[in-house]
Amino acid sequence: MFAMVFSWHCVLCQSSSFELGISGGGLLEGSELSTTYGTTLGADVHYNFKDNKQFSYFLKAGVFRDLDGIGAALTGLDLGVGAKYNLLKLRKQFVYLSLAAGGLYLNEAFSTQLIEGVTTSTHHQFGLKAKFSIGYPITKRINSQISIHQLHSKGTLAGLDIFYKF
Amino acid sequence: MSLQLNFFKTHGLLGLAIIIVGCSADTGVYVAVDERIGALPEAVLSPIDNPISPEKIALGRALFWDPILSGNFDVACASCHHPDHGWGDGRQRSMGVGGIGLAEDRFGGAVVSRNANTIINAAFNGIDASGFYDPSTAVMFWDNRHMSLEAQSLEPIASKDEMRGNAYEAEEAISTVSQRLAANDQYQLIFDAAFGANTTINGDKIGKALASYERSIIANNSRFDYYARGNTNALTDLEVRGMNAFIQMNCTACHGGPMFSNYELHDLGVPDNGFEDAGVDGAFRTPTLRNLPLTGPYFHNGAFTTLEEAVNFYDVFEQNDEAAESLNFDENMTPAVVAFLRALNDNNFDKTIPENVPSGLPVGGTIVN
Repeated sequence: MFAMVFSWHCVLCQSSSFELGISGGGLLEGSELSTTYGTTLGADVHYNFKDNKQFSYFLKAGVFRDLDGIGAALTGLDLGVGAKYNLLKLRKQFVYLSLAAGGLYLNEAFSTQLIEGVTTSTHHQFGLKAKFSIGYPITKRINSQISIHQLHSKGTLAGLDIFYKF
Repeated sequence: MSLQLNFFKTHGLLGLAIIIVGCSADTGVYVAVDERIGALPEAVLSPIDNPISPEKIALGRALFWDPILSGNFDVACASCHHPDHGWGDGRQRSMGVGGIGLAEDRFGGAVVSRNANTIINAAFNGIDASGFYDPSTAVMFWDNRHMSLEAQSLEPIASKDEMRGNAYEAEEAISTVSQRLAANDQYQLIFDAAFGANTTINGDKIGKALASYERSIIANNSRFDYYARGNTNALTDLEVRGMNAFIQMNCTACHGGPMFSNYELHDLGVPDNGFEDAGVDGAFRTPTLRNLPLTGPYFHNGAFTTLEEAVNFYDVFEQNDEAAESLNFDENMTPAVVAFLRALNDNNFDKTIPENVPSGLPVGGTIVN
């Protein structure tokens, strides 16, 4: 399966690339999710089309998880498309803007101590996610970016991403 | 070679994703056993000397709605404890003798010092987190001055502002009312049905009948109750989030147990609301948090109209109280906590109003303008 995907990538889209990333962030106060969660850790994969152009597109998939929910655990999965625009050149690399949007799946597992015992419940929700980023390549293969994610109407996440391109 | 490298990196990402997703759910906040919240029992207890019966409930219902218990035949228990207002009256402070109309529309009468407690689930007063309560010693009123529904139910009859007026002295109230009831053939019949043939009507039996009726006004199947009993789909994610916030903020230090009350007295410095009331050294009983959407305004003097206002009071209240000092209030939690509190509501309780009462007086007193 992976061999097929990578063969397709290598043969058909020589100017395209994969990016693997790790992201850390925090939910901004004032939203529903921020009442329960604070910091998150996530991973992303991008497939960039013709990313040697000033304006390029990518497919993305990501997962994130909260690190500090008390009596609760949040997991999010997202799948979407995005566009990237090289804004200006700075010390031989382009500062870029990136905007992505797509579907979001949120899974929350709650655990509560009641008289009857510890009660657990899991809640599933589907919605939309948008992500806006400003990035700058640290090296030819490593990108860093600051991002704002809107998690449907449930919360806003601000974070830092590090991507490895290959 | 490149393919192998990509394959390796992709597996690295997959591994990271699995680690992120696979982190187990937090096991939750530990809550002291006596501060835990949970479902109400599915049945009520009654004192050994006052077993509940349909006949006593029927008698209590007639008495509850009949202004014959008041000095001027104008006020019934239901004047301030009406099912259309969550078995309270929706007023900041209740209006008794001389009042005309119901709830906020009531006018012209004596305003009493406190907000009317709902009688919904008053049968469970005093219940602790282990489910234990003794209905013969359950505390009553905002200042815990009486124990048991039987004792509580007689006090308004003797209260000048609530029901008695100037018709007779307080110490004569119960005997006078008993004589009135004994002179009514229909009452004698239903007292006999409840307590045995040729029974003597007195304060003890009036109290037992009223208490039996109050024990039939139960709402113990809120969505939270279903959740606690095992239906984990009964609450929304927002409500569960509010429940966890309620626990994390340590609201359960006072609002624990199945009734969300420890039934102790606490001094929170609630605003006077135009009427000074010192309570017991400034303290008032922790009220239940059940059925709040039906029973506002809130606190002993109805100082706050909305649930949001009542909850946000805990951001600014005077921490004169040891238990209250342990509160970790976070205003950001208010919407979720309010959503959770609304999930403690159970609207499925007896709302029936009798068409008439044995005295022939207006049902519920002068509650109709």
